[in-house]
Amino acid sequence: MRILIAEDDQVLADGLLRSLRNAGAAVDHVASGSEADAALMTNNEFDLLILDLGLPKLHGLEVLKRLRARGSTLPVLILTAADSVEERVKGLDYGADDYMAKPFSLQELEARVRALTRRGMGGATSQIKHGPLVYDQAGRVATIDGKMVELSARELGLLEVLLQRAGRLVSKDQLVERLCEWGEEVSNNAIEVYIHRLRKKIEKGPIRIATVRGLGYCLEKIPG
Amino acid sequence: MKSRGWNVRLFKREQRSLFGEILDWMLTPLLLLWPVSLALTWLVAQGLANKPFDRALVHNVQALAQQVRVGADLKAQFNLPQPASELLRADETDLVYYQVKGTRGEFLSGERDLPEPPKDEDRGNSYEVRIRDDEMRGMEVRVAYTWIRLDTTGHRPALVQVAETREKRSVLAAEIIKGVMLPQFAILPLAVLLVWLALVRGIKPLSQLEERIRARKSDDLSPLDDKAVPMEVAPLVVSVNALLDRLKDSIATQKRFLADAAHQLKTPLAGLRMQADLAQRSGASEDELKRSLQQIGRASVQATHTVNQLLALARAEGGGASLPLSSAIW
Repeated sequence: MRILIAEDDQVLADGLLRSLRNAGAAVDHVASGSEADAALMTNNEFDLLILDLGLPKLHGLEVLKRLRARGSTLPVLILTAADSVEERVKGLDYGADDYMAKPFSLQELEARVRALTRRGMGGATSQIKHGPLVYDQAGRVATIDGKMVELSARELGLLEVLLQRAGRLVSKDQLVERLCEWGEEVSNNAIEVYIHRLRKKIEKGPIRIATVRGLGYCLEKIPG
Repeated sequence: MKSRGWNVRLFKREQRSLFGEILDWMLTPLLLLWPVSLALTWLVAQGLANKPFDRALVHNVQALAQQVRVGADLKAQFNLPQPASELLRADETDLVYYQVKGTRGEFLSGERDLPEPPKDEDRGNSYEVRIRDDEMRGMEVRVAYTWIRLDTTGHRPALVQVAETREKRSVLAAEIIKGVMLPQFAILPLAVLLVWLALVRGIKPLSQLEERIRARKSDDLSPLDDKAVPMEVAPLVVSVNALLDRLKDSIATQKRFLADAAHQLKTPLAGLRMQADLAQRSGASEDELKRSLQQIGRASVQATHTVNQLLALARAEGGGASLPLSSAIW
């Protein structure tokens, strides 16, 4: 899970970063609207954008407008101090998926983040099913046929990415992007190792992680 | 009200009263003018009272003047037929005297002590009758007289005078004055009352205006209707409306300021809450707790700074902020 936070208040940003990282996401942070716009243009691998409206240099709504103008369907959660109906309607109509007024509780924020990211994983509730595999988004626990599977943080991250694109190919590069924040380094070889370990743990029953040489991996369900 | 000498002070108030002042300024001149009008009336009455009796006096002089002739000795002669004489004397109220003098100033007939007309006065045409007031035997008399130029051996015209005491005239004058003045004693208080009522009525729009203002809700700053008030009060209403307008703006500015202030504080508060929530998570390490507390401290300092800046702004602007807060603070 890769999340971009666009928030200029240092304390709030610190809180958001730490809590989301604790939940296993790879989180990056920008403190101005122009930086956010730049990051979104060059980097397509975010799963969620948490966007403060009152950003310096470029207003949050403008960032959102440009993002959507590029055809991006990236889920966006708006944060703002102004809480009027007009503001909410404006934000949602500009293309936000959700809206939180400051100050807010951490619990609520985390729940909304889960809600915004599970669709991508094919989940309607925080329990995301893929055949016998059930991934609990909130608890960050994977079970197969009800039995818990011990996964490391990296492995969980990998699983989330594969779940999000279940049935589709994910390249190694994409996996790297999704797993790592700016400044982190995970080599392609490391990815292979993580995939290998994950396979061993979850390839049970109809669940497969298919490898397409040169192209990437794909989480599948084999029928029957 | 400060004293205005001997003017009648009709109201004693601590505060200036327009009503009182208007009343004073209207009635004081009235009361000053009244003795003046009394004096004028008296003068006019005297003049009027003279008129009817003067005519009779003039006729008498003219009648006597006809009786003055030039005698054979080229001297003036005067013969008074008896009926005329009677006519002259017959009056219930007043005493009548006459005098005829010749062309040499010699006494011809009548009373000797009837005074002559003033020496330096123009004698006018022959037979032209003049009238003057004079005094005789200690009484005031009205005298009609005429100079008659005769072809005689004299150095001056003949003089015919008829004098009458002023009793009748005085009585008539008094009647006139009474007739004119007495009603005024009744009319004057009536006039004062009417003036008073007129003032009360005139001031009514002001108390109506006051009622309209009093009936307003405390937050109603809409303009007063300046059509529904008299012309004289309209400028006052217009300037009050201008004041209300400025007040509305000022209050709007203050409201905006408050809204902005609340707004500005929400972000540090969000940070505080977030860090507190984070710190209370189970499984938080000591480092993480420390960090949260550090961040909480930082956010508190920021919030305090913001509050201080807001207070300074509020003080500087006198309660309203014309600067957009965001540019001032960040």
